[in-house]
This record gives sequence, C-alpha cells and structure tokens, in this order.
Amino acid sequence: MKIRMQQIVSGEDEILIKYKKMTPEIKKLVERLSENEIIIVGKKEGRQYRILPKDIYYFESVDEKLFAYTSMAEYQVLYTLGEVEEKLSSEGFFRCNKSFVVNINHIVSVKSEMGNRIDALMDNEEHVIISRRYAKTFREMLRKEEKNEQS
Amino acid sequence: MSKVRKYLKMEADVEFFACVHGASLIFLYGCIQWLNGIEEVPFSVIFQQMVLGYAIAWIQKGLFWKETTYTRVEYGIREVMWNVIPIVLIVVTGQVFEWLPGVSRWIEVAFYIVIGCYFIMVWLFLKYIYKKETEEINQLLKNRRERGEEDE
Repeated sequence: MKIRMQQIVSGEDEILIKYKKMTPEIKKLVERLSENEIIIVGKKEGRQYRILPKDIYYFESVDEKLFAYTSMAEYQVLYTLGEVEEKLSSEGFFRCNKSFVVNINHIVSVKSEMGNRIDALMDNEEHVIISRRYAKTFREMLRKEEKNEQS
Repeated sequence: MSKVRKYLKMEADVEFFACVHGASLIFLYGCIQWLNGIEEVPFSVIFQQMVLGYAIAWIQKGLFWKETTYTRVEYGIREVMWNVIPIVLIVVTGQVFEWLPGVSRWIEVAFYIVIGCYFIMVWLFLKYIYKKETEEINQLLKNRRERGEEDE
C-alpha cells in the first residue's frame, strides 16, 4: 500500500483512503483513525443511534436522566452531565446551568441580564440560560480563546 | 456540606449589594438629617437600615433566581419590581420605625424620592454594564464563528 502525504495551507486536515476492496487491513486502519472521533450513543424508541457532537445543541438533565437534543430529535444518553461536560469540552460544550450542557458552536447571540445571568439564543431559535454561576466561566472561556488566537 | 457551601456562595453574592444598599440608605438618611440640623444617626436606625439593605438585596436576587428564560413582559415586570419593592419596603419601614420624627412631610417625601432615584440609578448603571458586556460577548462569539468558518 502506497502512503502519500501532502501539506496544505488552509482548510481542514483530511485523510483520504482510496481502495479497490475493503480489506481487513484497511478496516483496521479506519478503526484506528476513528478512535479519536467522539461519538455519543443515544437511545430513542428502543433503538440506539450514533450522534456526532457537532449535531447536538445541548444536553438536558431531567429527573436524573440525560437527554441530547439535535435539530431532528431528542435522545436519551447514558452519561451524567458531568461526564458529557468533561468528554465534550474540547468540542465546544460547556456547563451553562445546573441541568444543561450546551454546544457553544450553536449559540448565535447572547444577552446579559439582571442577576448576572446570560440569555443565549441558539441557531434553532431556542433560548438557554447561562446562570450566574457559569456565566463567569463562559466569559473567561471566550476571552481565553480570543487571547490564544491573537498570540 | 455542599448545601452550606452553596448558601455561602449565594450569601457572598448578596453581601455586596446588601452593603451598597445599607451604606447608601444610611448616607442619604444622614444627609437629610444633617440638612435638618441633626448631626447624629441613632444606632437603632443604622441597624434597621443595614438589615433592610440586606433584605432588599435578597429580594432583588430572588426576582431573577430561576434558571429559565423569562418572556419580555415577565422580564420587564421583574425589572419594575426590582425598583418598586425596595422603595415600598423603605417607605413602610421608615413609617413603622419613625425614621424622620418631627420633620415636615415635604422633607420626608424628598427623602423617599431621593431613595427612589438611588435605586433607579443603580438599575440604569447595571443596565449599562450588561449592555456593554452583551456587546463584548457577542463580538467574541462572532470572532469565534469567523475563525471556525476560515478553518473550514
């Protein structure tokens, strides 16, 4: 098997595998490469679904059960809020109040409100509240990202 | 233990406004008394006004307690209550404990109007701070989105 590498100036890093027939060797390689990709397994009407974090708007904890909301549906997931917060922090997820972990990439705009809370508008027109407790972390996270980008 | 820690955190949040309200009440009361030719503020009044400032800070926090979205009307009503409830409480407490005995009705009314102005000014100041913060965070979000689009 030939291995070719090409450096690009802009755009997303990409790995392209060309094959005539899916061999165990290629399959193993794909599995290896996929190991780093985070997939959330959600349950809906007795079926299990693999959900990409980027498709999830937020997680909500209701009666000790955790639900993931996408534009299409809601799925029950077998994690705790703390676990998804930790697992998906690199994907832009953060804890915004005691029962929500939200995907920052789906936030369109925010409004700071009395009581030091932040009302976040998502791109599906839903509003999510970033409570006083987590608003500080949210602001710091954005400022830190900006600073890192500038340096 | 976590409940105690949670309470202490909330307490620390409230404490700031409690002190600001209490100190402002005492200061404005002292000014009115001074204009009236009285140079002392009795400890009982200081104590009552500090406690009242603390109670007002908790009530104001309670008005925006929920972690849910308020509708525009609901939010507006809470903002009005944020200003009106403290003024009503101060007028009632002032009357019950007779903070301004023997002064003319006009001076008493002037004191409550000044107190009302104080709360409106604090509210306007907070509105300004939140407006500036909203602009800053939205700009940071916009920059973040643009960086993401560039990467794609």
